[in-house]
Amino acid sequence: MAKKKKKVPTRRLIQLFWAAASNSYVTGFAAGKLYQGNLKMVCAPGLNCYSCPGALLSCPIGSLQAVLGSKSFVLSTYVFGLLMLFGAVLGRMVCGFLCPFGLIQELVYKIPFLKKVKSFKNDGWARRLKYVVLILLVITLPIMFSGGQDADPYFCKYVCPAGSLEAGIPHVLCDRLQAGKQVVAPLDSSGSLSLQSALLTPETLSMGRLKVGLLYWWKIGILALTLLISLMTYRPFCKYLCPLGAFYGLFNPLSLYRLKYHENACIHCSGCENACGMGLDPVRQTNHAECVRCGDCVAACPTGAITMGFTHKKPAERPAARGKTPLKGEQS
Amino acid sequence: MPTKTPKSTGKPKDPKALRRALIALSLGLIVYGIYSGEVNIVLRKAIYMCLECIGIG
Ligand code: SF4
Ligand code: SF4
Repeated sequence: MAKKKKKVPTRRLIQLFWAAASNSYVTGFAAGKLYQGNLKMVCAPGLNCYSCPGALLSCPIGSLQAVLGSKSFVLSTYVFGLLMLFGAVLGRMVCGFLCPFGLIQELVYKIPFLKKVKSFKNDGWARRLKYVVLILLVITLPIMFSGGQDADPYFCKYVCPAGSLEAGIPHVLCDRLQAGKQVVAPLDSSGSLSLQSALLTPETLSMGRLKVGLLYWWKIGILALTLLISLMTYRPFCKYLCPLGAFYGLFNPLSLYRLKYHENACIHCSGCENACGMGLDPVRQTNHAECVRCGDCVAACPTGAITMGFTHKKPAERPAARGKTPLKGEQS
Repeated sequence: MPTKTPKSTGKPKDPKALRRALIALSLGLIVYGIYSGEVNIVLRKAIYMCLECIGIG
Protein backbone atom coordinates (compact mmCIF):
# COMPACT_ATOMS: atom_id res chain seq x y z
CA MET A 1 0.00 0.00 0.00
CA ALA A 2 2.60 2.51 1.07
CA LYS A 3 4.65 1.63 -1.98
CA LYS A 4 1.71 2.29 -4.31
CA LYS A 5 1.05 5.75 -2.90
CA LYS A 6 4.42 6.84 -4.30
CA LYS A 7 3.05 6.57 -7.83
CA VAL A 8 1.27 9.91 -7.79
CA PRO A 9 4.27 12.07 -6.85
CA THR A 10 6.39 10.17 -9.35
CA ARG A 11 3.96 11.01 -12.13
CA ARG A 12 3.89 14.65 -11.06
CA LEU A 13 7.69 14.76 -11.10
CA ILE A 14 7.75 13.33 -14.60
CA GLN A 15 5.14 15.85 -15.72
CA LEU A 16 7.10 18.75 -14.26
CA PHE A 17 10.41 17.49 -15.58
CA TRP A 18 9.05 16.96 -19.10
CA ALA A 19 7.27 20.34 -19.20
CA ALA A 20 10.47 22.10 -18.08
CA ALA A 21 12.86 20.08 -20.24
CA SER A 22 10.86 20.42 -23.44
CA ASN A 23 10.53 24.18 -22.88
CA SER A 24 14.04 24.86 -21.68
CA TYR A 25 15.25 27.36 -24.29
CA VAL A 26 15.74 30.09 -21.71
CA THR A 27 17.16 32.62 -24.21
CA GLY A 28 13.79 32.53 -25.95
CA PHE A 29 11.99 33.79 -22.85
CA ALA A 30 14.59 36.47 -22.24
CA ALA A 31 14.63 37.83 -25.79
CA GLY A 32 11.16 36.89 -27.06
CA LYS A 33 12.70 34.63 -29.70
CA LEU A 34 12.21 31.03 -30.75
CA TYR A 35 14.59 28.09 -30.77
CA GLN A 36 15.50 27.42 -34.40
CA GLY A 37 17.55 24.23 -34.19
CA ASN A 38 16.95 20.88 -35.84
CA LEU A 39 15.21 19.38 -32.80
CA LYS A 40 12.14 21.24 -33.98
CA MET A 41 11.81 18.72 -36.81
CA VAL A 42 10.51 16.35 -34.14
CA CYS A 43 7.02 16.67 -32.69
CA ALA A 44 6.52 16.56 -28.94
CA PRO A 45 4.08 13.85 -27.88
CA GLY A 46 1.81 16.28 -25.98
CA LEU A 47 0.17 19.58 -26.79
CA ASN A 48 3.04 22.07 -26.61
CA CYS A 49 2.96 25.20 -28.74
CA TYR A 50 6.02 25.48 -30.97
CA SER A 51 5.80 29.24 -30.73
CA CYS A 52 6.42 29.04 -27.00
CA PRO A 53 9.72 30.92 -26.56
CA GLY A 54 11.16 27.98 -24.64
CA ALA A 55 9.94 25.14 -26.89
CA LEU A 56 12.59 22.77 -28.21
CA LEU A 57 10.18 20.53 -30.11
CA SER A 58 7.24 21.03 -32.46
CA CYS A 59 3.59 20.84 -31.61
CA PRO A 60 2.06 17.75 -33.25
CA ILE A 61 -1.33 19.38 -33.87
CA GLY A 62 0.23 22.56 -35.28
CA SER A 63 2.56 20.50 -37.48
CA LEU A 64 -0.28 18.34 -38.73
CA GLN A 65 -2.26 21.41 -39.79
CA ALA A 66 0.83 22.99 -41.34
CA VAL A 67 1.52 19.97 -43.54
CA LEU A 68 -2.11 19.23 -44.42
CA GLY A 69 -2.66 22.89 -45.19
CA SER A 70 0.48 23.30 -47.27
CA LYS A 71 0.11 23.39 -51.00
CA SER A 72 2.94 20.87 -51.44
CA PHE A 73 1.41 17.96 -49.49
CA VAL A 74 -2.00 16.27 -49.58
CA LEU A 75 -1.37 13.98 -46.62
CA SER A 76 1.00 14.08 -43.71
CA THR A 77 2.69 10.70 -43.39
CA TYR A 78 5.43 11.99 -41.08
CA VAL A 79 3.22 13.60 -38.46
CA PHE A 80 0.54 10.90 -38.67
CA GLY A 81 3.29 8.29 -38.37
CA LEU A 82 4.71 9.94 -35.26
CA LEU A 83 1.27 10.29 -33.69
CA MET A 84 0.47 6.64 -34.45
CA LEU A 85 3.76 5.56 -32.92
CA PHE A 86 3.10 7.55 -29.74
CA GLY A 87 -0.46 6.20 -29.70
CA ALA A 88 0.49 2.55 -30.22
CA VAL A 89 3.25 2.60 -27.61
CA LEU A 90 1.91 5.03 -25.00
CA GLY A 91 -1.75 5.77 -25.77
CA ARG A 92 -3.06 8.52 -23.54
CA MET A 93 -0.20 8.00 -21.15
CA VAL A 94 1.06 11.01 -23.09
CA CYS A 95 -1.82 12.97 -21.53
CA GLY A 96 -1.13 11.74 -18.03
CA PHE A 97 2.64 12.21 -18.10
CA LEU A 98 3.92 14.23 -21.05
CA CYS A 99 1.55 17.09 -21.75
CA PRO A 100 2.27 20.49 -20.19
CA PHE A 101 -1.25 21.73 -20.79
CA GLY A 102 -2.71 18.67 -19.11
CA LEU A 103 -0.44 19.36 -16.14
CA ILE A 104 -1.60 22.98 -15.92
CA GLN A 105 -5.25 21.93 -15.84
CA GLU A 106 -4.51 19.37 -13.14
CA LEU A 107 -2.71 21.94 -10.99
CA VAL A 108 -5.58 24.41 -11.34
CA TYR A 109 -8.04 21.66 -10.36
CA LYS A 110 -6.05 21.19 -7.13
CA ILE A 111 -7.03 24.70 -6.02
CA PRO A 112 -9.93 24.45 -3.54
CA PHE A 113 -13.20 25.68 -5.03
CA LEU A 114 -16.81 25.90 -3.88
CA LYS A 115 -17.98 22.95 -5.92
CA LYS A 116 -16.15 20.29 -7.86
CA VAL A 117 -18.24 18.81 -10.67
CA LYS A 118 -17.47 15.27 -11.78
CA SER A 119 -20.17 14.80 -14.34
CA PHE A 120 -23.33 16.33 -15.78
CA LYS A 121 -26.20 15.33 -18.02
CA ASN A 122 -25.00 14.64 -21.57
CA ASP A 123 -21.37 14.67 -20.46
CA GLY A 124 -20.73 11.65 -22.67
CA TRP A 125 -22.05 13.47 -25.72
CA ALA A 126 -20.09 16.62 -24.90
CA ARG A 127 -16.90 14.56 -24.90
CA ARG A 128 -17.47 13.71 -28.53
CA LEU A 129 -16.88 17.34 -29.40
CA LYS A 130 -13.12 16.78 -29.45
CA TYR A 131 -13.53 14.33 -32.33
CA VAL A 132 -15.38 17.04 -34.27
CA VAL A 133 -12.52 19.45 -33.52
CA LEU A 134 -10.00 16.87 -34.76
CA ILE A 135 -11.84 15.98 -37.95
CA LEU A 136 -13.10 19.44 -38.84
CA LEU A 137 -10.57 22.02 -37.64
CA VAL A 138 -7.37 20.00 -37.70
CA ILE A 139 -7.86 17.77 -40.74
CA THR A 140 -10.70 18.79 -43.06
CA LEU A 141 -10.50 22.59 -43.19
CA PRO A 142 -6.72 22.80 -43.72
CA ILE A 143 -6.98 20.24 -46.55
CA MET A 144 -9.99 22.02 -48.10
CA PHE A 145 -8.40 25.45 -48.15
CA SER A 146 -4.89 24.51 -49.21
CA GLY A 147 -5.41 25.29 -52.90
CA GLY A 148 -3.15 28.01 -54.28
CA GLN A 149 -1.71 28.99 -50.91
CA ASP A 150 -1.10 27.54 -47.47
CA ALA A 151 -4.26 27.23 -45.40
CA ASP A 152 -4.71 28.65 -41.92
CA PRO A 153 -4.16 26.32 -38.96
CA TYR A 154 -7.79 26.65 -37.87
CA PHE A 155 -7.46 24.97 -34.48
CA CYS A 156 -4.43 27.07 -33.55
CA LYS A 157 -6.01 30.24 -34.83
CA TYR A 158 -9.47 30.02 -33.30
CA VAL A 159 -9.33 27.59 -30.39
CA CYS A 160 -6.00 26.50 -28.89
CA PRO A 161 -5.70 27.88 -25.33
CA ALA A 162 -2.25 26.28 -24.99
CA GLY A 163 -1.03 28.57 -27.79
CA SER A 164 -2.33 31.62 -25.95
CA LEU A 165 -0.80 30.58 -22.65
CA GLU A 166 2.55 29.32 -23.88
CA ALA A 167 3.10 31.68 -26.83
CA GLY A 168 0.54 34.50 -27.00
CA ILE A 169 0.99 35.88 -23.50
CA PRO A 170 4.82 35.54 -23.30
CA HIS A 171 5.43 37.08 -26.73
CA VAL A 172 3.04 40.00 -26.22
CA LEU A 173 4.51 40.64 -22.76
CA CYS A 174 8.02 40.54 -24.15
CA ASP A 175 7.03 42.81 -26.99
CA ARG A 176 5.46 45.34 -24.65
CA LEU A 177 8.45 45.22 -22.34
CA GLN A 178 10.80 45.95 -25.22
CA ALA A 179 8.56 48.74 -26.51
CA GLY A 180 8.21 50.04 -22.97
CA LYS A 181 11.97 50.13 -22.52
CA GLN A 182 12.26 52.53 -25.41
CA VAL A 183 9.46 54.79 -24.20
CA VAL A 184 9.82 54.64 -20.45
CA ALA A 185 13.53 54.14 -19.88
CA PRO A 186 14.46 57.76 -20.65
CA LEU A 187 11.93 58.84 -18.01
CA ASP A 188 13.14 56.37 -15.43
CA SER A 189 15.98 57.96 -13.46
CA SER A 190 17.24 54.66 -12.06
CA GLY A 191 17.45 53.19 -15.53
CA SER A 192 15.44 50.17 -14.40
CA LEU A 193 12.11 49.27 -15.87
CA SER A 194 9.24 48.02 -13.79
CA LEU A 195 6.72 45.69 -15.35
CA GLN A 196 3.95 48.07 -14.42
CA SER A 197 5.49 51.07 -16.09
CA ALA A 198 6.24 49.04 -19.18
CA LEU A 199 2.79 47.60 -19.54
CA LEU A 200 0.36 50.18 -18.37
CA THR A 201 1.31 53.44 -20.02
CA PRO A 202 -0.82 54.45 -23.03
CA GLU A 203 2.36 54.79 -25.07
CA THR A 204 3.52 51.24 -24.50
CA LEU A 205 0.09 49.74 -24.99
CA SER A 206 -0.09 51.13 -28.48
CA MET A 207 3.56 50.70 -29.37
CA GLY A 208 4.73 47.08 -29.69
CA ARG A 209 5.33 45.28 -32.96
CA LEU A 210 2.59 42.75 -32.21
CA LYS A 211 -0.77 44.33 -32.78
CA VAL A 212 -3.26 42.78 -30.44
CA GLY A 213 -6.82 42.56 -31.77
CA LEU A 214 -10.13 40.80 -31.35
CA LEU A 215 -8.69 37.38 -32.22
CA TYR A 216 -6.11 37.67 -29.47
CA TRP A 217 -8.74 38.50 -26.86
CA TRP A 218 -11.04 35.76 -28.19
CA LYS A 219 -8.30 33.21 -27.57
CA ILE A 220 -7.44 34.71 -24.20
CA GLY A 221 -11.15 34.34 -23.39
CA ILE A 222 -11.03 30.62 -24.28
CA LEU A 223 -7.94 30.23 -22.11
CA ALA A 224 -9.54 32.05 -19.18
CA LEU A 225 -12.69 29.95 -19.50
CA THR A 226 -10.64 26.75 -19.66
CA LEU A 227 -8.75 27.67 -16.50
CA LEU A 228 -11.92 28.76 -14.74
CA ILE A 229 -13.70 25.50 -15.57
CA SER A 230 -10.54 23.62 -14.52
CA LEU A 231 -11.18 24.93 -11.02
CA MET A 232 -14.45 23.01 -11.00
CA THR A 233 -13.85 19.96 -13.13
CA TYR A 234 -10.85 17.76 -13.88
CA ARG A 235 -9.10 18.50 -17.21
CA PRO A 236 -12.05 20.07 -19.11
CA PHE A 237 -10.01 20.84 -22.22
CA CYS A 238 -8.81 17.22 -22.37
CA LYS A 239 -12.34 15.92 -21.94
CA TYR A 240 -14.16 18.11 -24.42
CA LEU A 241 -11.89 19.86 -26.89
CA CYS A 242 -8.41 18.45 -27.33
CA PRO A 243 -7.89 16.90 -30.78
CA LEU A 244 -4.68 15.24 -29.64
CA GLY A 245 -6.41 13.52 -26.74
CA ALA A 246 -9.11 12.41 -29.19
CA PHE A 247 -6.49 10.89 -31.48
CA TYR A 248 -4.56 9.08 -28.74
CA GLY A 249 -7.81 7.87 -27.18
CA LEU A 250 -8.41 5.75 -30.28
CA PHE A 251 -5.21 3.85 -29.44
CA ASN A 252 -5.92 3.35 -25.73
CA PRO A 253 -7.46 -0.12 -26.11
CA LEU A 254 -4.33 -1.47 -27.77
CA SER A 255 -1.43 0.66 -26.59
CA LEU A 256 1.56 -1.08 -25.05
CA TYR A 257 1.40 1.07 -21.90
CA ARG A 258 -1.94 0.10 -20.44
CA LEU A 259 -4.10 -0.68 -17.46
CA LYS A 260 -4.81 -4.23 -16.45
CA TYR A 261 -7.71 -5.28 -14.31
CA HIS A 262 -7.16 -8.41 -12.21
CA GLU A 263 -10.59 -9.74 -11.47
CA ASN A 264 -9.31 -12.28 -8.96
CA ALA A 265 -7.98 -9.57 -6.65
CA CYS A 266 -10.95 -7.20 -6.90
CA ILE A 267 -13.24 -6.76 -3.88
CA HIS A 268 -15.66 -4.43 -5.74
CA CYS A 269 -15.30 -1.56 -3.32
CA SER A 270 -15.67 1.10 -6.06
CA GLY A 271 -12.56 2.86 -4.80
CA CYS A 272 -11.13 3.09 -8.31
CA GLU A 273 -14.34 4.47 -9.74
CA ASN A 274 -14.56 7.15 -7.07
CA ALA A 275 -10.93 8.12 -7.62
CA CYS A 276 -11.14 8.54 -11.40
CA GLY A 277 -11.18 12.20 -12.37
CA MET A 278 -12.19 11.32 -15.91
CA GLY A 279 -15.42 9.78 -14.61
CA LEU A 280 -14.67 6.20 -15.63
CA ASP A 281 -15.28 2.93 -13.91
CA PRO A 282 -11.89 1.29 -14.48
CA VAL A 283 -13.36 -2.16 -13.76
CA ARG A 284 -15.82 -2.04 -16.64
CA GLN A 285 -14.01 0.53 -18.76
CA THR A 286 -10.40 -0.57 -18.51
CA ASN A 287 -8.35 1.16 -21.21
CA HIS A 288 -11.28 3.32 -22.29
CA ALA A 289 -10.53 6.10 -24.79
CA GLU A 290 -11.09 8.68 -22.03
CA CYS A 291 -8.48 7.21 -19.67
CA VAL A 292 -5.47 9.52 -19.35
CA ARG A 293 -3.40 6.93 -17.44
CA CYS A 294 -3.17 9.14 -14.38
CA GLY A 295 -2.96 6.07 -12.15
CA ASP A 296 -5.34 7.45 -9.53
CA CYS A 297 -7.40 4.26 -9.71
CA VAL A 298 -4.26 2.18 -9.24
CA ALA A 299 -3.33 4.19 -6.15
CA ALA A 300 -6.87 3.97 -4.79
CA CYS A 301 -7.25 0.21 -5.13
CA PRO A 302 -6.66 -1.46 -1.73
CA THR A 303 -5.83 -4.86 -3.23
CA GLY A 304 -3.75 -3.94 -6.27
CA ALA A 305 -6.44 -5.25 -8.61
CA ILE A 306 -5.56 -2.63 -11.20
CA THR A 307 -2.04 -2.29 -12.50
CA MET A 308 -0.63 0.15 -15.01
CA GLY A 309 2.50 -0.06 -17.10
CA PHE A 310 4.23 -1.80 -19.99
CA THR A 311 4.22 -5.07 -18.07
CA HIS A 312 1.94 -6.31 -15.29
CA LYS A 313 2.55 -8.38 -12.19
CA LYS A 314 -0.33 -10.49 -10.97
CA PRO A 315 -1.53 -9.33 -7.54
CA ALA A 316 -2.47 -11.72 -4.74
CA GLU A 317 -6.01 -13.13 -4.98
CA ARG A 318 -8.71 -11.35 -2.97
CA PRO A 319 -9.55 -12.77 0.47
CA ALA A 320 -12.29 -15.34 -0.22
CA ALA A 321 -14.50 -14.08 2.61
CA ARG A 322 -14.67 -10.59 1.13
CA GLY A 323 -15.26 -11.67 -2.44
CA LYS A 324 -18.53 -10.72 -4.06
CA THR A 325 -20.26 -11.74 -7.23
CA PRO A 326 -18.20 -10.47 -10.16
CA LEU A 327 -19.69 -7.61 -12.14
CA LYS A 328 -21.07 -8.23 -15.57
CA GLY A 329 -18.72 -7.25 -18.35
CA GLU A 330 -15.58 -7.45 -16.22
CA GLN A 331 -12.46 -7.82 -18.25
CA SER A 332 -8.77 -8.12 -17.85
CA MET B 1 -21.16 7.45 -9.94
CA PRO B 2 -19.67 6.57 -13.28
CA THR B 3 -19.97 9.27 -15.91
CA LYS B 4 -21.94 8.37 -19.00
CA THR B 5 -18.86 8.44 -21.14
CA PRO B 6 -18.87 7.23 -24.74
CA LYS B 7 -18.63 3.47 -25.04
CA SER B 8 -15.16 1.99 -25.09
CA THR B 9 -13.66 2.10 -28.54
CA GLY B 10 -13.28 -1.67 -28.59
CA LYS B 11 -11.37 -4.28 -26.62
CA PRO B 12 -9.49 -6.65 -28.87
CA LYS B 13 -8.72 -9.79 -26.86
CA ASP B 14 -5.10 -9.81 -27.85
CA PRO B 15 -4.15 -6.54 -29.46
CA LYS B 16 -0.48 -7.51 -29.72
CA ALA B 17 -0.58 -8.32 -33.41
CA LEU B 18 -2.52 -5.17 -34.26
CA ARG B 19 -0.17 -3.09 -32.12
CA ARG B 20 2.89 -4.52 -33.83
CA ALA B 21 1.35 -3.86 -37.23
CA LEU B 22 0.57 -0.28 -36.23
CA ILE B 23 4.08 0.32 -34.92
CA ALA B 24 5.57 -1.07 -38.15
CA LEU B 25 3.18 1.03 -40.25
CA SER B 26 3.93 4.17 -38.27
CA LEU B 27 7.70 3.66 -38.66
CA GLY B 28 7.18 3.22 -42.40
CA LEU B 29 5.11 6.41 -42.56
CA ILE B 30 7.73 8.36 -40.60
CA VAL B 31 10.54 7.22 -42.89
CA TYR B 32 8.48 8.02 -45.98
CA GLY B 33 7.61 11.46 -44.55
CA ILE B 34 11.26 12.24 -43.88
CA TYR B 35 12.22 11.01 -47.35
CA SER B 36 9.55 13.14 -49.04
CA GLY B 37 10.69 16.32 -47.31
CA GLU B 38 7.73 16.74 -45.00
CA VAL B 39 10.02 17.49 -42.07
CA ASN B 40 11.12 20.70 -43.76
CA ILE B 41 7.58 22.03 -43.59
CA VAL B 42 7.37 21.06 -39.92
CA LEU B 43 10.67 22.78 -39.23
CA ARG B 44 9.82 25.89 -41.24
CA LYS B 45 6.53 26.31 -39.43
CA ALA B 46 8.10 25.72 -36.01
CA ILE B 47 11.09 28.05 -36.15
CA TYR B 48 9.20 31.21 -37.08
CA MET B 49 6.66 32.78 -34.79
CA CYS B 50 3.22 31.41 -35.65
CA LEU B 51 0.96 34.45 -35.52
CA GLU B 52 -2.15 32.27 -35.51
CA CYS B 53 -0.96 30.45 -32.40
CA ILE B 54 -0.32 33.74 -30.65
CA GLY B 55 -3.71 35.04 -31.71
CA ILE B 56 -2.71 37.93 -33.91
CA GLY B 57 -2.51 36.18 -37.28
S1 SF4 C 1 -6.02 15.71 -23.96
FE1 SF4 C 1 -4.72 17.19 -25.03
S2 SF4 C 1 -4.33 18.86 -23.58
FE2 SF4 C 1 -5.11 17.08 -22.43
S3 SF4 C 1 -3.28 16.03 -21.77
FE3 SF4 C 1 -3.93 15.04 -23.69
S4 SF4 C 1 -2.77 16.12 -25.30
FE4 SF4 C 1 -2.66 17.39 -23.45
S1 SF4 D 1 -9.22 4.90 -15.29
FE1 SF4 D 1 -7.57 5.16 -13.75
S2 SF4 D 1 -5.75 5.77 -14.93
FE2 SF4 D 1 -7.57 6.08 -16.23
S3 SF4 D 1 -8.15 8.22 -15.97
FE3 SF4 D 1 -9.36 6.99 -14.51
S4 SF4 D 1 -8.15 6.98 -12.61
FE4 SF4 D 1 -6.77 7.68 -14.26
